[in-house]
Order: sequence, then C-alpha cells, then structure tokens
Amino acid sequence: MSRWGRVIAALAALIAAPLAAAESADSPPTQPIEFLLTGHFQLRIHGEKDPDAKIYVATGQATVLVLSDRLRRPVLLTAREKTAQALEPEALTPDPKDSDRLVVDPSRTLGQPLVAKVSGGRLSFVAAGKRVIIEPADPWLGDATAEEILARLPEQRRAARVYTPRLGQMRLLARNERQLRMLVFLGSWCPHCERLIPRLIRVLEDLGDKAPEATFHLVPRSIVDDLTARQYGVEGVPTVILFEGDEEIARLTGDELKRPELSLARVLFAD
Amino acid sequence: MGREETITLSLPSSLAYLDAVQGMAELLACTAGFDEEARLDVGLAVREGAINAIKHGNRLDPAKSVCIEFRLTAGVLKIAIRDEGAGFEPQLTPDPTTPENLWRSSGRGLLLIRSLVNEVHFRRHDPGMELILIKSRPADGQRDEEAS
Repeated sequence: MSRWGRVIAALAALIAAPLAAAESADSPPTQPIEFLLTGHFQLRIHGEKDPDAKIYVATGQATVLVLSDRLRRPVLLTAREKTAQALEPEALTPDPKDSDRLVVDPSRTLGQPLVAKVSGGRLSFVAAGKRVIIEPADPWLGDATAEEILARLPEQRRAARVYTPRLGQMRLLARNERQLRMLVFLGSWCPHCERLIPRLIRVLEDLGDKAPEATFHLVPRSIVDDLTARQYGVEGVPTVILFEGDEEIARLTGDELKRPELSLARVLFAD
Repeated sequence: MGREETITLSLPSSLAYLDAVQGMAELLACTAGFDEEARLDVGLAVREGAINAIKHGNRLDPAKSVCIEFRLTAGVLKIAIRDEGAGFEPQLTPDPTTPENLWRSSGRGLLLIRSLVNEVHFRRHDPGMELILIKSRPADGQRDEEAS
C-alpha cells in the first residue's frame, strides 16, 4: 500500500472505530480548523473522477474537507465524529494571502451528519443521493514543465515557496555560460520527490534565463514500466540527469538534491 | 568552546584520502557548533582545497605532503591547507566562467570554495602555497549573507 493509501487507511481506521467510542468521544469540534489544499487524494462521484474537486487536509488532525460543485456543499470528514458533515458555504474563510489555505468553522453545519464507510483504502459516503469516494490520487505520468508541476501539485508548490537556495552557489551558477539541459525524473506519488523536487524548481526559477532547460518526466510507481526511465537507466526517483549537448555530464539522485544549487555548483565548478 | 584548539593533519599527495579529509572537516565543524548545512560547506570547501593542493600544488608527487590545520574557536573555524608545490599567483588564476576557459578544470574549485566559506586567503611559502579558509557560524537570519 502506498504512503497515502496508508494515510487513508489510518483515517479510515479512526472513522471505522467502534460506535461505543464515538458515543464517548468529545463533542464535535467547534474551534476553527486550518486546512491546506492537497494533491494526494482525488474524488469520485458515482465512480467518475471529479478533476475539479478540491480536497484539503487539516493541519495536525485527521480531518478532510471536500469541495466539489457536484456536491453543492462543502463536506467535512472528521475522525472524531466518524462522519461526513455538510457545511454552510459561509463556514469557509479563504486566506487572501494563500490560495491553498482555508479556515473552517466546523460548527456551521447543514443537516444531519452522514455515515462514512471504509473499503479497500477508500473512504466513501453518500451525499445528495450520490456515492462519493475519496481515494489516493492516480499517479501523474509523462512530461511536464516546472510550472505545470507547481500548478497541479499543491504540496510541491508550497515546498518550493519556502525553500531558500544559498546565495553563494546561486551567484556561482548565475555565472555559468555552458549550454546545459536537464531531464528530471520524479513521481507524483513519491514523498522524496515532494520534498526535493520543489527545491530544484526553486533554484531553476531563481536562476531565470541562466537555468538549464529542464524537462520533468513523471513515472509510475513501477519505474521499470516507464520507457523513458528504462532508456536512461533510471531505477529510482528523484533522479536528475544533466546534459551538455547530447552528452550526459552528471546524474544527481536522492539527497544530492537536498541542496540542488550546491550539487549543480559542484558539477560545474569542482576541480 | 572557550579556548582555541588546533588540530593538524598531514597526508600524502593522494586523492585516496579526500573522503577522510572531508569527514574530519565536517566532524570538527560539528565540534565548533556549526549546523548541518554549514558542516557540509566546510567539508566540501576543505575537500576542494585539498584537491587543489594535491593535484595542482604537489602535482600528485608522492614524495610531497599536504598539511591541513584546523583552528577552532567559538563560532569560527579557520582552516589552512598547505602544499609543497611551486605556488601560483591567485590573481592570475583564469576565470573558469569565461567562454575561453569553459573546458579548463583549473580554477573551478576556487570559485566553489569561495561560495562555501566566508573568507579565502592565500599565503606564499618557500616552497609551497597556503590556502586559508575562514568559516563563521552565522547569526540567526544571516545564513545567506555568509557565502557572498
């Protein structure tokens, strides 16, 4: 089971706990809850994926917020309540400075709470007569640009925002005149990529027109099934291959991308 | 650390010892209270300095050695890397970022070293050249100012 499958399972286990525990649980949450947009899950309604749905996870709590035009109302899934609860739209306060962030007033409910069920790592409930499923997001496959990755993967977008490349190496890289290009292998499902690739993207963004031309290639969990990965002998992600013309001059993997500006500076400037 | 401490390493002109040198530099940076990133900076800077001394200073001559001296005080690590070569004029080191020098390896390491530590100095000896690196522990919020 993938990491996010386990997260769903953990959430599900809490939701599926005995009813007796629910009866002895604290009263429903009344304090505002902070949510962040996530790309880890997707929504299906009547078996059909809703690509426009937005799913948020609470910071520090096993609580999920689902927004979909097809559900009409925001739905809050809480572990403590073990239910799916429709909310008044006014319960949501967007953060004007951060479009990924919402604050929710959980006391502004609409109607009776719905029973959430768990099956095969999926969380489901029935709302407005529709069967709704929250499940781990399908892997994103194929080529993408850095901008597309940041637009589609909120966790990567936020990680890129907070990374600060070291000025010394960035100044060095900005002096590079060699014509380089970069092929970046990553997985939308890969937690290491989620931590490290945004740093690389931030470095490339900050280098501007001095950055190597970069192509991002998203692979499935079973990397051997990816033709491009096989072609380049890539066995794990994240992997960055640096080319000068058609010649591969360096390959960076794993923690070498912890400080990508330093690793690139070493490739270009170490004796 | 309240008082200055000095640790000296002497090694043959062989690139085989670079990992040990880098590891020792990181360990001493840890002792001096540097954070993980700064320890990596110090380790890489010393490694590059040692490569310069072994390859370009001693020209891999097994009869010559490289001496690395670490001086630790609170928040400051001073490293002197001395070879027994003919020496060079630092001002005459070619700029490896200019188009005519793109393919030359000499000089690249010094640029990288400058990006990793606060100060870089050179001292000529007879014979040999000494590269002096100074790394200070940054105050909070000043991390990026150090590597300019």
